[in-house]
Amino acid sequence: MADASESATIPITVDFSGGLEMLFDNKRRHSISLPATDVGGKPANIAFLIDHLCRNLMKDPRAELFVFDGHIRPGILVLVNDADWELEGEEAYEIQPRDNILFVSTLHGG
Amino acid sequence: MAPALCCNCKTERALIKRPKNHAKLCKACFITIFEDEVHHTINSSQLFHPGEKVAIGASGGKDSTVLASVLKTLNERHGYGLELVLLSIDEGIKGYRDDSLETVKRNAVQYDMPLKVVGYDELYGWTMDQVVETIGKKGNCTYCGVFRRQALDRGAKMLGIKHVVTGHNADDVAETVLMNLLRGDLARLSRSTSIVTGDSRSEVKRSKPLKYSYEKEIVLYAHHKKLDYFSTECIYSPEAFRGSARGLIKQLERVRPTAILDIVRSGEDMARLVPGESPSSCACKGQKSAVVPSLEDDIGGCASQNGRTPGGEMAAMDKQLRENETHEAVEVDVARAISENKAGGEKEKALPIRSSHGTSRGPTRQVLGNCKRCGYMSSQEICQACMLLEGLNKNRAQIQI
Amino acid sequence: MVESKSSEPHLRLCLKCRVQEATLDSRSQPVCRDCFTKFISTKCIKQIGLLGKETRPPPPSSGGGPPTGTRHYLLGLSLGVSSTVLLHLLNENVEFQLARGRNVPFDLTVLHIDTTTVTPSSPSSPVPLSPPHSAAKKSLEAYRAHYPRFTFLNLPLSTALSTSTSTSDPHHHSGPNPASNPPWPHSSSSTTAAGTAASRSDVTRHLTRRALQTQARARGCQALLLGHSTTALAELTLAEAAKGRGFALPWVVGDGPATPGLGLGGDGDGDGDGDGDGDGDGDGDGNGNGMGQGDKERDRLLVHHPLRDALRKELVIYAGLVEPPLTGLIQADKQDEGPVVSHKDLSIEEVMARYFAEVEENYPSVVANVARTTGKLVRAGREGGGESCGLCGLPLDEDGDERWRGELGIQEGSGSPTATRLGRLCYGCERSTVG
Repeated sequence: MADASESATIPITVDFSGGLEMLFDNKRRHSISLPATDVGGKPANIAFLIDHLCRNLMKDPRAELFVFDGHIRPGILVLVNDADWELEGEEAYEIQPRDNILFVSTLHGG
Repeated sequence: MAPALCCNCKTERALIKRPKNHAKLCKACFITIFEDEVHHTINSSQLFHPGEKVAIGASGGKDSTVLASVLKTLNERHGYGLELVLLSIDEGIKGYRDDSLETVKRNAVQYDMPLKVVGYDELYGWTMDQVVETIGKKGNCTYCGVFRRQALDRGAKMLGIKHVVTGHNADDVAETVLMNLLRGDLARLSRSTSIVTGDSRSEVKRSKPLKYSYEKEIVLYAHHKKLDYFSTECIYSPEAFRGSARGLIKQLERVRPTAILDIVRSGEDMARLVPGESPSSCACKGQKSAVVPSLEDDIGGCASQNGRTPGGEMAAMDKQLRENETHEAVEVDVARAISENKAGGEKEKALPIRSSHGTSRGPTRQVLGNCKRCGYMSSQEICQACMLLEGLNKNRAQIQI
Repeated sequence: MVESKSSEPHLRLCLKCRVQEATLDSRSQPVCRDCFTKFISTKCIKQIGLLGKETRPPPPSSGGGPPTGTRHYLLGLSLGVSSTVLLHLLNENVEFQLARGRNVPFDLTVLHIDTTTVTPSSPSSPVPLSPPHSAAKKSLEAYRAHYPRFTFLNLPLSTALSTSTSTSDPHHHSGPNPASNPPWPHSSSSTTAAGTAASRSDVTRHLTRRALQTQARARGCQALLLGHSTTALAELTLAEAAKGRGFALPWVVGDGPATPGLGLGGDGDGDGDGDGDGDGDGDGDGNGNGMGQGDKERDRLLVHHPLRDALRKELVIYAGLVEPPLTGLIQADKQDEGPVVSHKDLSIEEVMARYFAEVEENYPSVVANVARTTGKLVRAGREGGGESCGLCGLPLDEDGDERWRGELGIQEGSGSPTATRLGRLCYGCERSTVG
């Protein structure tokens, strides 16, 4: 279970805004250590991060405000180091050390 | 993936992919182009005139904050000569407005604009907290929305201002188009797509300079310009993404980002197909035809939801439609059908979203008059706010007994 | 006392006949199987009756005299639930009339357009002109055995778009063939909108609709029947709006004349000519539609949706209730639920279908209201002999285009409007093909 490659982690920061912070302990910025690979041994990507956040970081039971049908809820923007994730390959983007991933909801607040 | 370059300046790294045309832009070019497009909209629709005093309906949320920031920038850059004022409504929800009002106060300092806060209690004698105490949480968004729409106009009147701009964006307009299709309300469909509402007879004109701006870009603009805005879910608003037109719009955007503006376009075009409407409502061909009466109901929604439909909307709609079906078999214009039924001496419905004692009126253009109680512009004898207040006051009397 | 207590709550009587046990829930009323199937067929027959009044049978093939010919309709069969139920109900109607010693009320040609051969996996890959898909072919055999009275055809989209009624020679086209010559640019980058699931599905749908109309005209049919349920029409309404096609919506969702002449080469020699007085249609619905004066009588094809008053879920139930059930015939819906691969890879239709599945379940009156509302909109365009879109054949909206450009200003990264080899495209089709 605890072999070297599995226990390796990537240090990243994850930010939530636009109302999403309320799902994550009302904290905007989280510094986390993300496992470097998923269970299948593939390098951690955004899809894996989203799953990881739902399992480990979310304090609110209303996961459906963050994910929908197994993907990020449409209407939530994802920025990878300030760039729209659509420019970075979306869920397939492989996370690098010290990346900043920002989730902004457009669904809240006028 | 090699970082893409901005397709505009071709030097900086692209950070934004525009939903309307897939263009990849860097931060600086995005901000400039976003502002240029709002400027274009303001120009082509001739929204302002020099020296005009304009109130920005400010909630502290992203849309109105971006609107204030952009208008300040454009006013200075292009010499509009506008006198801009922030106008904020305090619904009287403890713990909710406190923070957002603080945001608006900071905005007033940041943008060097005067701020006027008007409370529901001064306007209606009820805070939202008191409303919820009386009627419960269900349906309270209706009250909030109806009160709010008038509140902005009344606040503007108090300030001697004849033009209120709101932060409604393309997503809001698209949502309204879909909702009016679902609701079957053609009169409102043709009204809701207009950038300007309120004609010469109304005391306060309303406009939405961000009508063609994607919500996504508004959020990105606020993010990249590091604007100070506040976002929270209204604590009284039910979590209702399911079945909501808002959720549908966001899913469509994911499939095809242009869909949002395409819906706006469809809405504008369909407005011309409503029987009785003028065949061309082209803003560039004649200002008059582009200006339609603003009624209290042009875009729904509460402060936090800004134009988005509250959760109970679909259920309420279905219920009303069912009732209409049993009444007069096939009546398409729901709003009209309801007011006609009402004229037949019917009692109050539990949730009178669009209902009121109907004066008879033309098929599409509603006849504007003034509310007999408060004098506010209304298509009905008694405006929606006064109708709701009547119910509330009766309730209060009962509770006190 | 005890008896009634134990039995009554279990046996619900049908609210309609009050005789049989209610086993189904129809629009929040408990009904029995017989009343339910009657309810559905009545809804359809009513519409067929309306259509019968609007169409006139062709005159006898030789000589004068009163029209003695039979109405001829074309049914578009997707092999899905709705069009199969419609086929079944039409057959039932014919049998009913014959059993009463009356004439056959209409001849029916059932046409399946096979789109599996045209949907390209990528815009750059060449479009194969392979023979009709064998699965569809097999299915049609089963349909034919089930309903021997009707004529069944299976045409690949590319063939069906040509006006020649001969199915054997796909090269015998007159005019451009949009299916084998898709309007999207060949050389453009991989990110063109035509590469998305949504755009491919759009183009295929328009071409299929167009092919059905072409074939109906070429075969001298008075009407094209489509199986859309209330739910499907509501979906279509919102989907078209989401594609920027609001202007043409009344043409697509309403019952009435098809868009006249699609500008696709010479028309087939329809035998519907010569009926001197083409009564100006367009009454009844107050749409003021009316076709251009110059349109030939044979162009007067009506498009009707006889199942417009039934919800999709009702048709699904119906298909399982008739004897033998239609479920054996119907091809499983490919797009049915299942896990989402990515929200991005759905088509707009799929998004709408998911949305309305929920709305239909909880708010059926809302669903019914959508189609009714659009029915009130005016059919614009064409009166002045305006141009039609080269792809979908619906009227172009010159005013709207001009105003829209004015409102939005020139956008960076978007070229001039596309003139394709099909001619000018409407706003919606431009979206579908160039993004």
